[in-house]
Amino acid sequence: MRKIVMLPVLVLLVALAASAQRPQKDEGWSELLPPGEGREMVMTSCTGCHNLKSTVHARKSRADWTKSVNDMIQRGAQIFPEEIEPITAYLSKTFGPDLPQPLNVNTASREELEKLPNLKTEMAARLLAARDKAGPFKNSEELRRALAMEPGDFEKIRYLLKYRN
Amino acid sequence: MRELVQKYLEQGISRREFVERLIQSGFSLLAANSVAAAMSPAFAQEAKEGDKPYTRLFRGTGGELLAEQLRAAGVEYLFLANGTGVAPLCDALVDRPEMKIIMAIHEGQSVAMADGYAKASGKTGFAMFSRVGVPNASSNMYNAMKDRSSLVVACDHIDTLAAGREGHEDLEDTLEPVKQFTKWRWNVDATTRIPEWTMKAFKLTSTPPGGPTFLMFPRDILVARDVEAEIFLPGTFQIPMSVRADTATIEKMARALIEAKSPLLRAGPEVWRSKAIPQIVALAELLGIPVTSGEEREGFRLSCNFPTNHPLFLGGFSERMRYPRNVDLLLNMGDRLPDGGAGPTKVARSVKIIDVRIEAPDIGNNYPLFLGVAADVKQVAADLVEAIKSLVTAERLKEIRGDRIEQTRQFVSRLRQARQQAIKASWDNVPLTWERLSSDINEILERDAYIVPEFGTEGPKALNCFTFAEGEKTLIGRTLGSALGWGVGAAVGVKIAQPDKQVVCMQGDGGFLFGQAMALWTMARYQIPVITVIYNNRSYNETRERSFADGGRQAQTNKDMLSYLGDPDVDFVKLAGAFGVAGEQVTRPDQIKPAMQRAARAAQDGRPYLIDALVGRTGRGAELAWYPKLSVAEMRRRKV
Repeated sequence: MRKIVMLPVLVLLVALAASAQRPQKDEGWSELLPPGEGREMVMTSCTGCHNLKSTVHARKSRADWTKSVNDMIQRGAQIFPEEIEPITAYLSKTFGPDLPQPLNVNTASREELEKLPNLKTEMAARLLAARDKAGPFKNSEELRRALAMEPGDFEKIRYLLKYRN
Repeated sequence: MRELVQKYLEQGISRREFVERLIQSGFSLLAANSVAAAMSPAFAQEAKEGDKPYTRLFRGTGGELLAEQLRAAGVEYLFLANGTGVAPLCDALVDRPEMKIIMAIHEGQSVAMADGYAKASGKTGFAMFSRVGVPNASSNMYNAMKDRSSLVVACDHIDTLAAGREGHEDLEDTLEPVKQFTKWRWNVDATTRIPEWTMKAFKLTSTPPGGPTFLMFPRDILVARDVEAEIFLPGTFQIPMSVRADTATIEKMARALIEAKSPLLRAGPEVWRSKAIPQIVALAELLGIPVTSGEEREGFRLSCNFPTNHPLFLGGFSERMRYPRNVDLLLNMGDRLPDGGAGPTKVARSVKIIDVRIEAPDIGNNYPLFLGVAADVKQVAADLVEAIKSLVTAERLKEIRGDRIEQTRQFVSRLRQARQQAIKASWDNVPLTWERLSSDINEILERDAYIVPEFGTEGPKALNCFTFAEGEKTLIGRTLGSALGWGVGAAVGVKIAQPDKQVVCMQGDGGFLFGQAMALWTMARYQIPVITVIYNNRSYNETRERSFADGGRQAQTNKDMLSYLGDPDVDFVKLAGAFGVAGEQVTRPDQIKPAMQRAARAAQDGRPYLIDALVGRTGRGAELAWYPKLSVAEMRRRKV
């Protein structure tokens, strides 16, 4: 049981540690990449030339993600042959056409927040109160603490929240 | 007597004549010789037989003095645009048929032609036009400045005595607008000094680091007649800049390279300009150092600074390269160090940076350096090879190289495999993909063709399909300045410089329409057999993609305010036809090779040819054909 509780914490710590090492150019967009097979390949290959802002905002079908990945390879993205499929699969699964756009927690209204899957009404109210009191949130960890959420619960919403436009 | 002495001191008469006149006025031979010896100017010497002359006297019009000095500077082609003020030079060229005029019908294109000629010949290009054409020329002067091209640009000017009154086609200060685009600029306001200032313009632009120089000739100065002046002879104003670093500096560099665990070499335009590729290759191979060139996706700019088929060549530089990892030393040979755009600088502070450049003022501007070296990259690379060999044994060198060369080769090979795999996924697409079009072009072109591209961010997709190396393709462009409207004119200059090589001008439709279609007229008039291929996606793809990436109102509303280039769809074949250049449109993949074969045959026959190839748009908003509509016809209250 303890191991199960610890796992999300570990994931979060690893993510935070990685975040600390990233150059400023990333601007925190990689925080919106949920765990999964292919994630690290995306981190390694796609950030050579650009940050992940456009990636985490894109909503595409599998066919369109295939086109995009191939297009990036032609432009010079450093992707190996065996990585094409996992990267395409990860992006298609993670950023499919039906996924809502990430919501800016620092400007979102109560109505917009309440539409988010897995964010209860009471939680939305708590978020707004914390935002009014302490000003804009800088990153996911600051928000999680403000909401006093367990890392495991927070994982359910964190990839749909952004902190800047 | 006083006048005689003064004349002698000013070297108006020879020593022999001076002595003879002294004898005529009563001096003995001994006394006259003694006086002459005492009066000898410190630097005056009788010319001895066999001495190389530095100058020769010429008497003629201002235009002729200019023509004579241009000839002495090695100018064979003059890229001129029409203007009354150019007439005195044209008058002089009537009797100098060995100096050939290439007429451009737009000043900007005359500069692009001269620039392409300079880049492909290694000589200095010369362009001249009317003073009111200076603003037209400025974008390509800016490009030439960014590229540090060897280029002398000239214009006429209002008569000396009428200047400064904002008269006909006059500005208060015509030189001021070109200040940022030129290394040196001058108003030539004395006919006797035309050769001197022209010589200086050629000297300054051809002395590394280069950059265009600019001369302005008032009309009365050029039309003046019967003026005598010295013409500076060839070889008297060229400055070799094979500057070497001192031994201690070379040794410090050599030791740092030997000790580096994961070095990276960045080869820049100074390598190409200095013809230093063999020396850079030798250095990289000696220690097995992977090599990058240029920036990220824009890895292909201006020139090839390292053979793209070499096992140590990685492609464009990126701050987050997958290989090599943990770079601890960056040896920058003749490139600007990468800026970080709006963000932080791109190389971590922990990396030792050695910056070698002939452009000394630029060294160390953006990064703290382990070592800054103001010297010629060719000399430094050669000296480093010798120093490294003298510091360590062959066995130790082998140990240092380890398997870096093989690792780099394997890394690049895997990337190329992925590229091939990705190309196949859209091989038969209609509209064409950039990579299919380029791959097929590559198959038809001669192995050592010259490629003159002017692409935006789609460019690498095309250029990755070619090999740039000695005996393979030669890359000229895109300019570092990126001001569109350069490539077609530049291809004209490249073909003039390299008439025995295939020359292909590669343009996006957006770039082509930036005021350079008129260079086709020059191709047709002078039978300059350039093959022009337009990658036509009816869009400024780069600007749309970048604008939409910012997620602003255009992206949110799917409204492409300024990048869609259809409606009307430009008929480039008809456009070329209007200038006397034949061409055809290509829409399907199976049409590419036959069209290129026809283009190559036209070129063999001495005719330029244009292919309008319809390629797909890519990226965000690619599907949009929307633009803000406006009809002035419908706004009218009267149908006039």
